[in-house]
Amino acid sequence: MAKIFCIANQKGGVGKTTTTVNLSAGLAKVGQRVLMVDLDPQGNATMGSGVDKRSLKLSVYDVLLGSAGVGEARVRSDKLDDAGCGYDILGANRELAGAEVELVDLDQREKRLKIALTAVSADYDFVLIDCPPSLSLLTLNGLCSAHGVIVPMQCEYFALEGLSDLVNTIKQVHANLNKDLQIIGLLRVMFDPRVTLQQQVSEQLKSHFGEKVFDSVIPRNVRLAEAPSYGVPGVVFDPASRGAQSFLAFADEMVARINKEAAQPA
Amino acid sequence: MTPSAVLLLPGWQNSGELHWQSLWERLHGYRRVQQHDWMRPLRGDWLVQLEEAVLACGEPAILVAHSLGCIQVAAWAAHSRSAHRVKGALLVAPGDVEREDLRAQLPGWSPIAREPLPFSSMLVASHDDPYCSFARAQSMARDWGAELTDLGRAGHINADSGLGDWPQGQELLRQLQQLN
Repeated sequence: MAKIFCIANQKGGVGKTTTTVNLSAGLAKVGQRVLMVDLDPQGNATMGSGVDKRSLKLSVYDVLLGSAGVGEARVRSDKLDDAGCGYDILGANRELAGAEVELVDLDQREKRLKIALTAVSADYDFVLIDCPPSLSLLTLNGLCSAHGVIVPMQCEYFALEGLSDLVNTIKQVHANLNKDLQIIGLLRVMFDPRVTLQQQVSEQLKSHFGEKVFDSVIPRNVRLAEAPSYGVPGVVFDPASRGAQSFLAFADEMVARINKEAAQPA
Repeated sequence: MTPSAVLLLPGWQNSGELHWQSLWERLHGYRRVQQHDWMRPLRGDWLVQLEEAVLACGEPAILVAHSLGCIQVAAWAAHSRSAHRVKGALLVAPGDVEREDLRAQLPGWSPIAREPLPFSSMLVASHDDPYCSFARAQSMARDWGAELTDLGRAGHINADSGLGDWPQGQELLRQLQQLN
């Protein structure tokens, strides 16, 4: 059964999509079977995975509305397959915004994605869901589907404010909709060790959240920033770059964490 | 009612300069609901544009839809929690997107929502509309609870129909406004 994780942070521009596509590619590179779900109508994770969002015949929108299953709607990118980092993509485009209107009066509106993913759970080791920054019905669908949340964050003062909003949201979803949901870990991204404030915030995070802070740190890296314009994750665009190497290390850390959890007695 | 509360909803590929919707926009100041992509209409995207336009209206809106715009109104009204903000809808020449040739060109728009509209509505149809048979338009009017107006042979009731600024349509709009 797949482990399902949301990549979420209610603050925008913190690297959610970069984390989602690079972790997907990194996990695929180390032999994991991965489905990436783009829950953001901007479709950046779709484009960043080598799939033109305008060419989608079916998307996560159709899955949420029940007019298609994940099996029919998922696609793959040749570019990623050729690089040995291929994963399945449940893509999104502008149409997904309509789900906010259309889901409102449907039964189990927060659980439509969870139900759809159950049908393909055996096909994957990991399902990674790229959530939009707002707390919307789309984000709720992501959080209701997931076993945990990976929170990418920059080590800046205001990042902690966004984190408290997210923690409150997760508590509410945990209490009312999804008892499995927990924060899996905080991932420090766009990290620049030369900036004193970033070091200080990083230390604060470790002292507050302890083991919840991933050991892997993703540095600020121009190759990661350039990759989306080529329609591939940084892990594919420049595998030797520091950013790509960091995401590969993060993929290893995730696999180790999951294996460790599985080995623990219930 | 201020002119900007009349929302014009063109169909697939938008309404050109000589279409009565464009003339109404220029003559009366009615507001066209813009779409991100008129050539490849994504249903969900179009519904959100309508939702936002209705929410932005300072007073109850009147929807004036043509062709795919009619299907958009039915799909939106079937789900939206903002439908109570609409006073009425004039639905002109609905496009039959369930027809095989149109379904292939407009994937995602089938099936047509057939729930009764939660506001007053009038549907205008023609006997030689290339995009919808009169019988199909009749059945949509019946399901939506719309009052049907038979325009005879007027094609797709667009610029090619030679209607000018379509005074008969303006009279129907006036009647619709007075229904409430």
